[in-house]
Formats: sequence, structure tokens, C-alpha cells
Amino acid sequence: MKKNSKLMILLRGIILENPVLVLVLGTCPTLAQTGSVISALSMGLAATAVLACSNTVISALRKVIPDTVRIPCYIVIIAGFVSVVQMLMHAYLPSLYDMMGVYLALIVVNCIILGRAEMFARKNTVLDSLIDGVGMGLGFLLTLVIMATVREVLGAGTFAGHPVPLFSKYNFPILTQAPGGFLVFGIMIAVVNKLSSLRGGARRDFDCAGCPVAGMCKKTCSSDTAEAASAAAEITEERENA
Amino acid sequence: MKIEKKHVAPVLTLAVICLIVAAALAVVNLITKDVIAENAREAERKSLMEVLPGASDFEAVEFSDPWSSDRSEIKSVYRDTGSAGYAVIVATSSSYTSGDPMTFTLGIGSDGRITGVSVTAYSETRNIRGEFTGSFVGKGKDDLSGVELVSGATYSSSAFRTAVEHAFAVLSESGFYNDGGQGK
Repeated sequence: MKKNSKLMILLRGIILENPVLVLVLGTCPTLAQTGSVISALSMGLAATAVLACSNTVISALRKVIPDTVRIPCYIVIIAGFVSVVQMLMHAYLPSLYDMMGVYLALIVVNCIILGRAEMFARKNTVLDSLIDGVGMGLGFLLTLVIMATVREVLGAGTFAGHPVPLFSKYNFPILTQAPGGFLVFGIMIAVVNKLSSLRGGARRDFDCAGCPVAGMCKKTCSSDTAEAASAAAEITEERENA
Repeated sequence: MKIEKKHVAPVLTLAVICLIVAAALAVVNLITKDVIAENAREAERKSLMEVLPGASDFEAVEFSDPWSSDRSEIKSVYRDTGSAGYAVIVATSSSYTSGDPMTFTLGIGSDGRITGVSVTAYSETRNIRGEFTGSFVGKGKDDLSGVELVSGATYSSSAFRTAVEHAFAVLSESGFYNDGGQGK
């Protein structure tokens, strides 16, 4: 499969570069909305819609938006789409709207959306950006639903509100609250890390633009293997000499 | 100060994008605002139905309040168009509680007896909902002093009872019920 084929772009967002478990973006809604499967589903779908639309528009305007005002422009576009989703949900899905509460508006500052705009949409074509948006959104949705399933079934003994045979009697309520959320989240990241190390290490395709530690890091994430190898050797040498 | 082109372009681009987004939002708002208003009306109607079962539709009516407002506040009065009675939205006085006032909806049937009570906002630690508020159902204006207060929540339950008396006073003052307690 060609590295940059459309299918690869889609799958990258779902597994290899899962925004929540690998890129560790958008953790706030992940922890807040995974108490129940229904809220996880609505959050995932809303975020996917916004992500796909904003990636498309930002990619279409990438040659027009000057570099100096690109972040304000991206935020305005993302906020516009979130507001549209909000109004449509308020009108046609009022029960889901009430369930999501303030977290629907918080999608504007969801790091995944701004992160992908910076990391991908402003450097790639409209079609590629759309596919990337959909892929990342699906990865986000999948992670949320799996985490919510674990938390709701083991924590409250229900799945989407319906009682589950064994767990409705014996369950661990702490899983539906904050400490349990962090626990499940950490375990999921550990599992994904283990799986990707078994595969022979994930070859990361993203560059330093969206990385929070870009200033300190010694470019070990670089997609140029020679550069990465020399940078890694440098660090090992420093450690040995220290 | 000479305004160079490279300073104008970013500002202009940002302004244009903001205008386009604002226009798009105005369009979506136009499409959805009626649906949203209708949903809100329907939700309100359903909550009023809860306290006055058997009602068909509600209309807000003007009312006159004989009591001074420091004890409790009557927020609104709705009459059932099918003459099943009235639903009153009440808030207890904030001098009774340390937090926000309690708000509840009271349904009073055409026979002058309470048909239902629904508490919509309650911030006290000791919960008086359920048995206490349910004990009001079936009571008429003159039976209220007989309702037992909840020990451990005397202020709250007393405030609640006073607020219910207030609701009855408003209904008879506004001419919706005659002195014998029968609805018009």
C-alpha cells in the first residue's frame, strides 16, 4: 500500500496515529464524555463532523490565509462549524444537545481539530485533508466508544442505558467517575503502545509543527530516518557521558 | 506612518473570513430558530402536563398578587384551555434558604385541589422532595395548615408550604377561583 494513498490516510487516523491514544490530543472531552456510551457517540460524531468540515475549508483556503493570522482564521472557521452543529443539534436532536451540555461548545478548543489544521490541512490538498479529517474523527469516535463501553459496563452495569447481565449486579462505580476515567485512559494508552512496539515501532509521519515539546526535543520524531538515527545516537551519547 | 500592503492583507483576510462565517451562521440561525422555539414550548408544555394530567394545552394568564413578594414569588400562572385547572410556577423566598430559592410547579384542578407537584430547582442538602411534596396532592386551600413539616428541614418545608398557600391566594385574588374553592 502506497504510503500516501487515500486509504492509508484514513487508516492512519484510526489506528497508527490515533489522535487520543497516540497523539494524546483532545483528552478533556475524552475523559468527560466517556461516562456513557450515548454521550461518547454524540461527542464523537459531532467532533468528526466539525473536523471533516474544518479540515476541508482550511485546506481550500491554505493559499489565501496569510501566515501571520492563520491561527485566528482557523479558530473562526472551526468556531463557525461548531456553532452550526450546535444550532442543528439544538433544533433536531434536543435530548442529545442537553446531554452534551457545555462540551459541545468546547469542541472549538479541542486540540485535535486545531492540531490537524496545523499539522495536515494547511499543507495538503482538499481531498486528502477531508479524508484525514474523517479518519481522525473516526479514530476519536472509536476510542471514545470503546472507553465508554468499558466505563459504563464495568462501572454502572449498563450499556447505552440497558442493563447488562452480570455487571448490573456487580460493578465498580469508581470507573464512571474521574479517577476511574484516568485509569481506563492510561491502560488503553499502554495497550496501544505495547501493540505498536510489537509491530516494530510506529513510524511517525507527523512533523514538529503540532508537537507540544517541539522546543526541547531533539527531533527524534523526524520522518527522515538518517536524521532520526543520528539524533538518537546523540542523546544516547549524552546519557552515557552524564 | 505608511500603511504597507503586507500589513493590510492579513487584517483584510481575517475580516472577510469573519464576515463570511457570520453570514453562514445567520442563515443557519434563520432555519433553526423556529424549531428551537417550538421545542422549548413543547418541553414547557410537558412539564406543565406533569402536574395537571388531563390538560390539553396551556396559555399564560395575567394574575394579581395580594401578598408582598418577600415571602415567595409566583413566577407565572397557566390556565388549561380545556378547563382542567391551573398550573402555577412558584419560587420560594430566598430568606428561608441559604442557597438559591426552590422553584416548583403546582397543578390545581378545577375543584380547587392540588393535582400534582413538581420540583424543578432545589439546592438544599436535606431532600424534601418525594414524600413531603407528594403529601400536598389532593389538598385544598384550607387543608394546608395540616400538612406536616419535615424535621431536619423545617425552614425548607415551611417555606414550601407557605409558597403553596401563596399560590392559592394568587388564584383566588385573580378571580380564577371563588371563595368556596371552586374553579371558574
